[in-house]
Amino acid sequence: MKALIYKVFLLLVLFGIAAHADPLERFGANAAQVSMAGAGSVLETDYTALYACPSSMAFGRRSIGAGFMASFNRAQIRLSPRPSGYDPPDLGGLSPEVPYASRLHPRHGINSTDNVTGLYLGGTVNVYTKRVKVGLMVFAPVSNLGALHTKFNNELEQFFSNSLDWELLGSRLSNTQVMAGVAVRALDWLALGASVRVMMSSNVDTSAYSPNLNTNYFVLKGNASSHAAAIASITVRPLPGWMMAVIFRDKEYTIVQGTSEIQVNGLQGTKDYPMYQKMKMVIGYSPRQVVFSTSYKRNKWGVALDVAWQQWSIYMDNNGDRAGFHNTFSPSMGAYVDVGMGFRLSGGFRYIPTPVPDQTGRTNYVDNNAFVLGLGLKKWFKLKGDHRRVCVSAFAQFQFLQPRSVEKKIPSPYQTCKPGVKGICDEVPDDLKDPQTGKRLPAAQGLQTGNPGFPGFSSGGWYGVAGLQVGWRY
Amino acid sequence: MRGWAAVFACLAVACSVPAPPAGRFADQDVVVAGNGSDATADSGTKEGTGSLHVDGTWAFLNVTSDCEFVLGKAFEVLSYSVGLDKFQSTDGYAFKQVLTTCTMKETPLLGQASIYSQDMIDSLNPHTVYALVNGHEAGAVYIQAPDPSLWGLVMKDPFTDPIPTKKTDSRIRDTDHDGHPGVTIHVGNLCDVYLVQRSVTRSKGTVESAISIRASNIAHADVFRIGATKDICMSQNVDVPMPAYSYLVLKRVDGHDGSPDLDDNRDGRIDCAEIMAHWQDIFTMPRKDDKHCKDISAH
Repeated sequence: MKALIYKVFLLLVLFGIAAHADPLERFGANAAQVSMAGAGSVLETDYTALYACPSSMAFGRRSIGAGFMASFNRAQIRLSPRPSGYDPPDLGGLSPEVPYASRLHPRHGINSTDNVTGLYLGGTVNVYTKRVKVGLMVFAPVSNLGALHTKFNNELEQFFSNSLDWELLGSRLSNTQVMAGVAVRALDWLALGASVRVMMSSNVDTSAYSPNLNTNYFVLKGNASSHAAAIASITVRPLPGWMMAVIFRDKEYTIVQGTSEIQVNGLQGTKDYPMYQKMKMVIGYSPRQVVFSTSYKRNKWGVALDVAWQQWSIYMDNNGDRAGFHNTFSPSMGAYVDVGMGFRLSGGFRYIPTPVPDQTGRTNYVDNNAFVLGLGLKKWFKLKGDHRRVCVSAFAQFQFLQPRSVEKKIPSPYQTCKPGVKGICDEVPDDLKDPQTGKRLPAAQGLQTGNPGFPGFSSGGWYGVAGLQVGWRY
Repeated sequence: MRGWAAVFACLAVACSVPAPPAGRFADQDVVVAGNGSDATADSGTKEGTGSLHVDGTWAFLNVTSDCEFVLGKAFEVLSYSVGLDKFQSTDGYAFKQVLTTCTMKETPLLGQASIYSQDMIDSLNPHTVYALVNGHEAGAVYIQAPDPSLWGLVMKDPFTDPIPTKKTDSRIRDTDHDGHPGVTIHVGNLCDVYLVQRSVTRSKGTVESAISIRASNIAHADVFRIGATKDICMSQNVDVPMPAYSYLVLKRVDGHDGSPDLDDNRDGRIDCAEIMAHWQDIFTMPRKDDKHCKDISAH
């Protein structure tokens, strides 16, 4: 088993499967945690503890498991109608950008965002002694595998989707998670654990040759490398039935960067031959987290309480810019009860405060407070007369996104769009002059913006997941 | 069970997305852009009847079509000028035309168009050409003598002297008086180009009515780029003149023979301000059409 786990781990790393964003954090790492709305990090001792609380593995038995989850949502964004007179005009050869009438896509809201469908797989084994366990866990999306979606969160997005999308939901959650770790039960009541999440970084340099407008030739020189983000935890059992843990998860993200060297026919002999353009994209940024988790259980019931602190203030958006989010505390609580015949019913509640401040300026990060309800049902099966060897768990979780409306503030005075400007900005500078007359162009006067979030938007709806997990403790 | 259903229903309703806010921004007055677009205007001129009496004030629209190659693909670029044309006949058939160009424009190519400052346009004014008609009725032939036009340049023989090839050529002049040699052409908001140009235009057409003459143009231009504010503007696109889509239209505008009278301020003379106020009512501007360059692109 150890050899198999090791080989699978190596294969996954060698093939550069990325681990980024956090479906496990957003919903929970296992059936118990999802059904208790994120509470109970300390409870599970199988392979899912590699994410939830690595040290708790040391308190459990060897196990393997697999599972499946799928999300569904109606996470809507509605855009306010644009007032008239703000469209970037067609100034012919003087237009500083493509006129608004020529956008490829009409400005539009969304009725839902991307879903995630994924498989869990993993296991734990003893190493020499029952007090030391190693484990491997993979969460792999079935659809949207390896999704790499980026967007702009300001007026530039008008040239792409010309829409808004959720910053912390959607495709960001549809990413592979690969982790391996070890847990040591140092004392009967104390265990230490650590795991690593493997992530991919890519450096992609391109050389392009463009002999004419219709033809481009590319040469790609890319290399992918992996790096790791740590998870560490301490679990204590101060009293029978009472467990406490502190879990630290380091920040993680995937970065794709490189340089493009472009040769355009006709520019030879100028300093623009060749042109060099830098590219840097950050995908699926998850901030540092510290989670305090505690649980208390009696024979037929148990309760759990988690509080997660997340350092959203370091969050970087797709362009590698600090987004100006604030740190949050997210509490969750859950309970379970054995209802007989090997069935266990669980449920929980969590509040996820949004780290995203009101987007009254230039940026359009969309996120809402979420009220989370979880539900689950677990069934134990006996094998060969032994008790509690195989379990099947069904789970569901609904995240209700608190309605939110945003109105852009009227900037006074408004500024021309350039790096560092925070407010809604003017894409057609007022001081643009007609070289014939030397006078300012009347059509350039006033604020002109095609920012998709202008003059406001509202967001809300819900995001749900459901799934099934099977575990075998041997 | 009912309780849970109620909770879910309540939350589902509570989480329904509200209508987006109206926003705090009031409507702005829309100013229609008038620069560089392919404006189309309907001709409001009522065609005159009777014979041509050339003496008087006319307005002209001169359109030159070129197919310019950028990155291997050809695009049509229309350069057009609008102005005053005072006809002075010697014998009723031969006459002198004193032209005053009021504006010069160019349609954008990949979002950038040449823009001519008023000082540069003024440096071309006034300009004299000679022409002939072989009759005064509709259908009579109109021929203009080959017309050389020099930008930022003096030449002893504007037809045969070679175009300068060095910045130090003594024939180069700062005719638009902006401190840069030659004339300055603003290429959109991308850069300024300093150049000299010699163009020779030949026009031949017909008298359409007592107040309208239309001719086709064949123009050839030699250009020397002296410098530019950006290197990228020193490279010149390959361009091919398109005589089939180049033309000259003359419209009488002094109120005689049924023509419109553009002397708005009744001072007895028509000036550029009055021409510019009405030119889009007088002339119909064609839109550029890259299909005109299709045959050329195929080569």
